[in-house]
Amino acid sequence: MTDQKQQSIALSELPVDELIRYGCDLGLGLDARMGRGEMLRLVRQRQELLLEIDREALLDIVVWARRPVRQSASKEQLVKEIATIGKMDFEKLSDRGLNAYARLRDVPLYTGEPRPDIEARIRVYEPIVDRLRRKRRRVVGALIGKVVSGPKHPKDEEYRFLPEADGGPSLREDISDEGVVGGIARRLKGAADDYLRTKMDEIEARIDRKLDEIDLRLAEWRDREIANRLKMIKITLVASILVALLSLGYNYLVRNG
Amino acid sequence: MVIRPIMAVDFDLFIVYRWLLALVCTIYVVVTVGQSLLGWWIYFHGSRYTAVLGRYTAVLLLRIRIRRFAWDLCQIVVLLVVLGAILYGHRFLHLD
Repeated sequence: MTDQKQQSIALSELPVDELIRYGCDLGLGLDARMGRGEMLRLVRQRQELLLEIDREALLDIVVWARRPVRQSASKEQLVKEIATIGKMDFEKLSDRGLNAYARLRDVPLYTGEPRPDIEARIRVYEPIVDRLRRKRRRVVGALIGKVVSGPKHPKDEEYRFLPEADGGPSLREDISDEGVVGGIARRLKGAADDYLRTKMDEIEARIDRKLDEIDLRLAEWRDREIANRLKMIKITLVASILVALLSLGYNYLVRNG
Repeated sequence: MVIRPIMAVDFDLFIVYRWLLALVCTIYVVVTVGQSLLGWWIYFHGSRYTAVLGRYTAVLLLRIRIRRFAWDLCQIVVLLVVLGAILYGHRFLHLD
Protein backbone atom coordinates (compact mmCIF):
# COMPACT_ATOMS: atom_id res chain seq x y z
CA MET A 1 0.00 0.00 0.00
CA THR A 2 2.87 2.34 0.97
CA ASP A 3 4.65 1.45 -2.29
CA GLN A 4 1.53 2.27 -4.25
CA LYS A 5 1.21 5.60 -2.46
CA GLN A 6 4.88 6.44 -3.14
CA GLN A 7 4.46 5.44 -6.78
CA SER A 8 1.40 7.64 -7.02
CA ILE A 9 3.29 10.62 -5.57
CA ALA A 10 6.25 9.98 -7.91
CA LEU A 11 3.87 9.83 -10.85
CA SER A 12 2.23 13.12 -10.01
CA GLU A 13 5.66 14.75 -9.69
CA LEU A 14 6.77 13.68 -13.16
CA PRO A 15 7.22 16.49 -15.71
CA VAL A 16 4.66 16.45 -18.53
CA ASP A 17 7.04 15.18 -21.23
CA GLU A 18 8.16 12.27 -19.05
CA LEU A 19 4.58 11.52 -18.14
CA ILE A 20 3.68 11.39 -21.83
CA ARG A 21 6.66 9.11 -22.53
CA TYR A 22 5.69 6.85 -19.62
CA GLY A 23 2.10 6.75 -20.86
CA CYS A 24 3.27 5.87 -24.37
CA ASP A 25 5.38 3.06 -22.90
CA LEU A 26 2.20 1.74 -21.33
CA GLY A 27 0.46 1.84 -24.70
CA LEU A 28 -1.50 5.04 -24.10
CA GLY A 29 -1.78 7.76 -26.71
CA LEU A 30 -1.20 10.76 -24.45
CA ASP A 31 -1.13 14.31 -25.69
CA ALA A 32 0.13 17.45 -23.94
CA ARG A 33 -3.21 19.13 -24.75
CA MET A 34 -5.06 16.58 -22.61
CA GLY A 35 -4.12 18.28 -19.40
CA ARG A 36 -2.05 16.86 -16.59
CA GLY A 37 -5.00 15.59 -14.54
CA GLU A 38 -6.47 13.62 -17.43
CA MET A 39 -3.09 12.13 -18.26
CA LEU A 40 -2.54 11.06 -14.65
CA ARG A 41 -6.00 9.49 -14.57
CA LEU A 42 -5.34 7.49 -17.72
CA VAL A 43 -1.92 6.33 -16.51
CA ARG A 44 -3.35 5.18 -13.18
CA GLN A 45 -6.21 3.45 -14.94
CA ARG A 46 -3.69 1.62 -17.11
CA GLN A 47 -1.64 0.66 -14.05
CA GLU A 48 -4.76 -0.80 -12.45
CA LEU A 49 -5.48 -2.73 -15.64
CA LEU A 50 -1.95 -4.12 -15.55
CA LEU A 51 -2.53 -5.37 -12.02
CA GLU A 52 -5.61 -7.23 -13.27
CA ILE A 53 -4.02 -8.77 -16.35
CA ASP A 54 -2.14 -12.02 -15.91
CA ARG A 55 1.60 -11.82 -16.68
CA GLU A 56 1.45 -15.11 -18.56
CA ALA A 57 -1.13 -13.61 -20.92
CA LEU A 58 1.29 -10.75 -21.67
CA LEU A 59 4.06 -13.28 -22.30
CA ASP A 60 1.74 -15.09 -24.72
CA ILE A 61 1.34 -11.86 -26.67
CA VAL A 62 5.09 -11.16 -26.98
CA VAL A 63 5.73 -14.78 -27.97
CA TRP A 64 2.97 -14.52 -30.59
CA ALA A 65 4.46 -11.28 -31.95
CA ARG A 66 7.97 -12.78 -31.58
CA ARG A 67 9.31 -9.80 -29.68
CA PRO A 68 12.72 -10.23 -28.01
CA VAL A 69 12.14 -10.15 -24.24
CA ARG A 70 13.45 -11.92 -21.18
CA GLN A 71 11.15 -14.40 -19.53
CA SER A 72 11.62 -12.50 -16.28
CA ALA A 73 10.58 -9.16 -17.85
CA SER A 74 8.23 -7.07 -15.74
CA LYS A 75 4.66 -6.35 -16.79
CA GLU A 76 5.55 -2.79 -17.71
CA GLN A 77 8.41 -3.94 -19.93
CA LEU A 78 6.10 -6.41 -21.62
CA VAL A 79 3.41 -3.77 -22.13
CA LYS A 80 6.01 -1.39 -23.58
CA GLU A 81 6.87 -4.06 -26.13
CA ILE A 82 3.20 -4.89 -26.76
CA ALA A 83 2.42 -1.21 -27.40
CA THR A 84 4.56 -1.34 -30.54
CA ILE A 85 2.81 -4.41 -31.98
CA GLY A 86 0.66 -3.69 -35.00
CA LYS A 87 -0.04 -7.28 -35.98
CA MET A 88 -3.65 -8.23 -36.70
CA ASP A 89 -3.26 -11.90 -37.52
CA PHE A 90 -4.39 -13.58 -34.28
CA GLU A 91 -4.23 -17.16 -35.47
CA LYS A 92 -1.43 -18.26 -33.14
CA LEU A 93 -2.40 -16.13 -30.14
CA SER A 94 -3.84 -17.92 -27.12
CA ASP A 95 -7.30 -17.01 -25.80
CA ARG A 96 -5.98 -15.36 -22.66
CA GLY A 97 -3.45 -13.48 -24.78
CA LEU A 98 -6.22 -12.30 -27.10
CA ASN A 99 -8.31 -11.09 -24.17
CA ALA A 100 -5.35 -9.24 -22.68
CA TYR A 101 -4.49 -7.73 -26.07
CA ALA A 102 -8.08 -6.52 -26.48
CA ARG A 103 -8.12 -4.97 -23.01
CA LEU A 104 -4.83 -3.19 -23.60
CA ARG A 105 -6.30 -1.75 -26.80
CA ASP A 106 -9.39 -0.56 -24.87
CA VAL A 107 -11.60 -2.92 -26.85
CA PRO A 108 -14.75 -3.87 -24.86
CA LEU A 109 -15.14 -7.58 -24.04
CA TYR A 110 -18.32 -9.46 -23.20
CA THR A 111 -18.53 -12.71 -21.25
CA GLY A 112 -18.83 -15.88 -23.29
CA GLU A 113 -18.08 -14.08 -26.50
CA PRO A 114 -16.71 -16.29 -29.32
CA ARG A 115 -13.12 -15.71 -30.35
CA PRO A 116 -13.82 -14.58 -33.96
CA ASP A 117 -16.05 -11.77 -32.62
CA ILE A 118 -13.26 -10.49 -30.37
CA GLU A 119 -10.79 -10.62 -33.25
CA ALA A 120 -13.21 -8.75 -35.50
CA ARG A 121 -13.80 -6.09 -32.85
CA ILE A 122 -10.07 -5.57 -32.32
CA ARG A 123 -9.75 -4.98 -36.07
CA VAL A 124 -12.68 -2.55 -35.99
CA TYR A 125 -11.12 -0.62 -33.10
CA GLU A 126 -7.82 -0.27 -34.92
CA PRO A 127 -7.43 3.41 -35.86
CA ILE A 128 -7.66 4.01 -39.60
CA VAL A 129 -4.24 5.70 -39.59
CA ASP A 130 -2.69 2.59 -38.02
CA ARG A 131 -4.48 0.38 -40.54
CA LEU A 132 -3.20 2.43 -43.44
CA ARG A 133 0.29 2.49 -41.94
CA ARG A 134 0.21 -1.29 -41.50
CA LYS A 135 -0.81 -1.79 -45.12
CA ARG A 136 1.81 0.68 -46.32
CA ARG A 137 4.47 -1.08 -44.27
CA ARG A 138 3.42 -4.41 -45.71
CA VAL A 139 3.92 -3.07 -49.23
CA VAL A 140 7.22 -1.40 -48.29
CA GLY A 141 8.31 -4.58 -46.51
CA ALA A 142 7.57 -6.65 -49.60
CA LEU A 143 9.56 -4.20 -51.74
CA ILE A 144 12.52 -4.05 -49.37
CA GLY A 145 12.38 -7.82 -48.98
CA LYS A 146 12.85 -8.12 -52.72
CA VAL A 147 15.74 -5.65 -52.78
CA VAL A 148 17.55 -6.69 -49.61
CA SER A 149 17.67 -10.44 -49.21
CA GLY A 150 18.20 -11.18 -45.53
CA PRO A 151 18.81 -14.55 -43.86
CA LYS A 152 15.84 -16.88 -44.19
CA HIS A 153 14.29 -18.23 -40.98
CA PRO A 154 12.00 -21.21 -40.88
CA LYS A 155 8.43 -19.97 -40.35
CA ASP A 156 7.51 -22.23 -37.46
CA GLU A 157 10.77 -21.94 -35.54
CA GLU A 158 10.07 -22.10 -31.83
CA TYR A 159 10.24 -18.77 -30.00
CA ARG A 160 13.13 -18.37 -27.55
CA PHE A 161 13.29 -15.79 -24.80
CA LEU A 162 16.38 -13.61 -24.42
CA PRO A 163 18.97 -15.00 -21.97
CA GLU A 164 18.71 -13.67 -18.45
CA ALA A 165 21.22 -10.99 -17.46
CA ASP A 166 22.34 -12.34 -14.11
CA GLY A 167 23.24 -15.95 -14.77
CA GLY A 168 26.31 -18.10 -14.12
CA PRO A 169 27.71 -19.82 -11.09
CA SER A 170 29.38 -17.98 -8.19
CA LEU A 171 33.11 -18.18 -7.35
CA ARG A 172 32.27 -20.52 -4.52
CA GLU A 173 30.49 -22.88 -6.91
CA ASP A 174 33.35 -22.64 -9.41
CA ILE A 175 35.91 -23.58 -6.73
CA SER A 176 33.79 -26.42 -5.44
CA ASP A 177 33.37 -27.71 -9.00
CA GLU A 178 36.91 -27.29 -10.36
CA GLY A 179 39.21 -26.72 -7.36
CA VAL A 180 40.94 -23.51 -6.23
CA VAL A 181 43.21 -22.96 -9.27
CA GLY A 182 40.65 -24.11 -11.82
CA GLY A 183 37.88 -22.08 -10.17
CA ILE A 184 39.96 -18.89 -9.94
CA ALA A 185 41.26 -19.40 -13.50
CA ARG A 186 37.73 -19.80 -14.73
CA ARG A 187 36.71 -16.67 -12.84
CA LEU A 188 39.68 -14.72 -14.29
CA LYS A 189 38.87 -15.99 -17.75
CA GLY A 190 35.29 -14.93 -17.18
CA ALA A 191 36.47 -11.46 -16.07
CA ALA A 192 38.71 -11.18 -19.17
CA ASP A 193 35.81 -12.29 -21.35
CA ASP A 194 33.57 -9.72 -19.70
CA TYR A 195 36.18 -7.01 -20.25
CA LEU A 196 36.57 -7.95 -23.89
CA ARG A 197 32.82 -8.16 -24.34
CA THR A 198 32.38 -4.71 -22.81
CA LYS A 199 35.09 -3.26 -25.04
CA MET A 200 33.63 -4.93 -28.12
CA ASP A 201 30.21 -3.57 -27.18
CA GLU A 202 31.69 -0.08 -26.81
CA ILE A 203 33.36 -0.32 -30.24
CA GLU A 204 30.17 -1.66 -31.75
CA ALA A 205 28.15 1.12 -30.17
CA ARG A 206 30.63 3.71 -31.50
CA ILE A 207 30.41 2.23 -35.01
CA ASP A 208 26.61 2.15 -34.76
CA ARG A 209 26.56 5.79 -33.67
CA LYS A 210 28.77 6.74 -36.61
CA LEU A 211 26.60 4.78 -39.04
CA ASP A 212 23.47 6.40 -37.62
CA GLU A 213 25.09 9.80 -38.05
CA ILE A 214 25.96 9.01 -41.69
CA ASP A 215 22.45 7.69 -42.25
CA LEU A 216 20.95 10.84 -40.77
CA ARG A 217 23.14 13.09 -42.93
CA LEU A 218 22.26 11.12 -46.05
CA ALA A 219 18.56 11.33 -45.18
CA GLU A 220 18.90 15.10 -44.70
CA TRP A 221 20.68 15.40 -48.04
CA ARG A 222 17.97 13.31 -49.70
CA ASP A 223 15.23 15.51 -48.22
CA ARG A 224 17.06 18.65 -49.33
CA GLU A 225 17.38 17.29 -52.85
CA ILE A 226 13.70 16.36 -53.00
CA ALA A 227 12.72 19.79 -51.68
CA ASN A 228 14.84 21.40 -54.41
CA ARG A 229 13.23 19.25 -57.10
CA LEU A 230 9.77 20.11 -55.82
CA LYS A 231 10.71 23.79 -55.84
CA MET A 232 11.78 23.49 -59.47
CA ILE A 233 8.51 21.77 -60.35
CA LYS A 234 6.61 24.61 -58.67
CA ILE A 235 8.59 27.27 -60.56
CA THR A 236 7.93 25.43 -63.83
CA LEU A 237 4.23 25.21 -63.03
CA VAL A 238 4.03 28.91 -62.16
CA ALA A 239 5.77 29.76 -65.44
CA SER A 240 3.37 27.47 -67.31
CA ILE A 241 0.38 29.14 -65.64
CA LEU A 242 1.67 32.58 -66.62
CA VAL A 243 2.14 31.47 -70.22
CA ALA A 244 -1.31 29.84 -70.22
CA LEU A 245 -2.81 33.09 -68.91
CA LEU A 246 -1.01 35.02 -71.62
CA SER A 247 -2.32 32.56 -74.18
CA LEU A 248 -5.83 32.96 -72.81
CA GLY A 249 -5.61 36.75 -73.01
CA TYR A 250 -4.12 36.59 -76.50
CA ASN A 251 -6.88 34.26 -77.70
CA TYR A 252 -9.50 36.49 -76.18
CA LEU A 253 -8.05 39.54 -77.94
CA VAL A 254 -7.83 37.68 -81.27
CA ARG A 255 -11.45 36.52 -81.00
CA ASN A 256 -12.89 39.85 -79.90
CA GLY A 257 -10.37 42.26 -81.45
CA MET B 1 -7.59 32.24 -107.71
CA VAL B 2 -5.72 33.48 -104.63
CA ILE B 3 -2.67 31.54 -103.48
CA ARG B 4 -2.01 31.76 -99.74
CA PRO B 5 0.95 30.31 -97.89
CA ILE B 6 -0.02 27.26 -95.78
CA MET B 7 1.24 28.73 -92.47
CA ALA B 8 -0.87 31.81 -92.97
CA VAL B 9 -4.01 29.72 -92.63
CA ASP B 10 -5.10 29.43 -88.94
CA PHE B 11 -1.64 30.27 -87.68
CA ASP B 12 -1.63 30.57 -83.90
CA LEU B 13 1.56 31.61 -82.16
CA PHE B 14 0.62 30.00 -78.87
CA ILE B 15 -0.35 26.66 -80.42
CA VAL B 16 3.01 26.52 -82.17
CA TYR B 17 4.74 27.55 -78.95
CA ARG B 18 2.91 24.91 -76.95
CA TRP B 19 3.66 22.13 -79.41
CA LEU B 20 7.28 23.17 -79.70
CA LEU B 21 7.67 23.43 -75.94
CA ALA B 22 5.99 20.06 -75.35
CA LEU B 23 8.15 18.40 -78.00
CA VAL B 24 11.45 19.87 -76.80
CA CYS B 25 10.67 19.29 -73.12
CA THR B 26 9.53 15.70 -73.66
CA ILE B 27 12.62 14.78 -75.68
CA TYR B 28 14.87 16.54 -73.18
CA VAL B 29 13.24 14.84 -70.19
CA VAL B 30 13.32 11.37 -71.77
CA VAL B 31 16.96 11.69 -72.81
CA THR B 32 18.14 13.20 -69.52
CA VAL B 33 16.24 10.77 -67.29
CA GLY B 34 17.28 7.82 -69.44
CA GLN B 35 20.94 8.85 -69.32
CA SER B 36 20.80 9.39 -65.58
CA LEU B 37 19.07 6.07 -64.86
CA LEU B 38 21.45 4.21 -67.13
CA GLY B 39 24.42 5.86 -65.40
CA TRP B 40 23.18 4.88 -61.95
CA TRP B 41 22.32 1.36 -63.13
CA ILE B 42 25.83 0.84 -64.47
CA TYR B 43 27.37 2.34 -61.33
CA PHE B 44 25.32 0.20 -58.93
CA HIS B 45 26.10 -2.96 -60.86
CA GLY B 46 29.79 -2.17 -61.17
CA SER B 47 31.03 -4.18 -58.20
CA ARG B 48 29.89 -6.00 -55.09
CA TYR B 49 30.41 -2.89 -52.94
CA THR B 50 28.48 -0.54 -55.21
CA ALA B 51 25.69 -3.16 -55.35
CA VAL B 52 25.39 -2.87 -51.56
CA LEU B 53 25.36 0.90 -51.96
CA GLY B 54 22.57 0.52 -54.52
CA ARG B 55 20.49 -1.51 -52.10
CA TYR B 56 21.07 1.05 -49.37
CA THR B 57 20.01 3.81 -51.76
CA ALA B 58 16.82 1.89 -52.54
CA VAL B 59 16.09 1.59 -48.82
CA LEU B 60 16.87 5.28 -48.32
CA LEU B 61 14.41 6.19 -51.06
CA LEU B 62 11.74 3.89 -49.66
CA ARG B 63 12.11 5.55 -46.27
CA ILE B 64 11.07 8.97 -47.58
CA ARG B 65 8.44 10.55 -45.38
CA ILE B 66 5.78 11.90 -47.72
CA ARG B 67 4.28 13.90 -44.85
CA ARG B 68 7.39 16.05 -44.73
CA PHE B 69 6.71 17.28 -48.24
CA ALA B 70 2.94 17.44 -47.85
CA TRP B 71 2.80 21.24 -48.07
CA ASP B 72 4.93 21.34 -51.26
CA LEU B 73 2.89 18.54 -52.82
CA CYS B 74 -0.35 20.38 -51.95
CA GLN B 75 0.98 23.51 -53.64
CA ILE B 76 1.88 21.48 -56.73
CA VAL B 77 -1.59 19.95 -56.83
CA VAL B 78 -3.19 23.41 -56.54
CA LEU B 79 -0.95 24.78 -59.28
CA LEU B 80 -1.83 21.82 -61.50
CA VAL B 81 -5.53 22.42 -60.90
CA VAL B 82 -5.12 26.10 -61.77
CA LEU B 83 -3.17 25.21 -64.91
CA GLY B 84 -5.81 22.65 -65.89
CA ALA B 85 -8.59 25.19 -65.35
CA ILE B 86 -6.82 27.80 -67.50
CA LEU B 87 -6.19 25.28 -70.27
CA TYR B 88 -9.81 24.18 -70.05
CA GLY B 89 -10.81 27.85 -70.27
CA HIS B 90 -9.30 27.99 -73.76
CA ARG B 91 -12.16 25.79 -74.99
CA PHE B 92 -14.73 28.47 -74.32
CA LEU B 93 -12.90 30.89 -76.61
CA HIS B 94 -13.05 28.45 -79.50
CA LEU B 95 -16.78 27.69 -79.13
CA ASP B 96 -18.94 29.54 -81.55
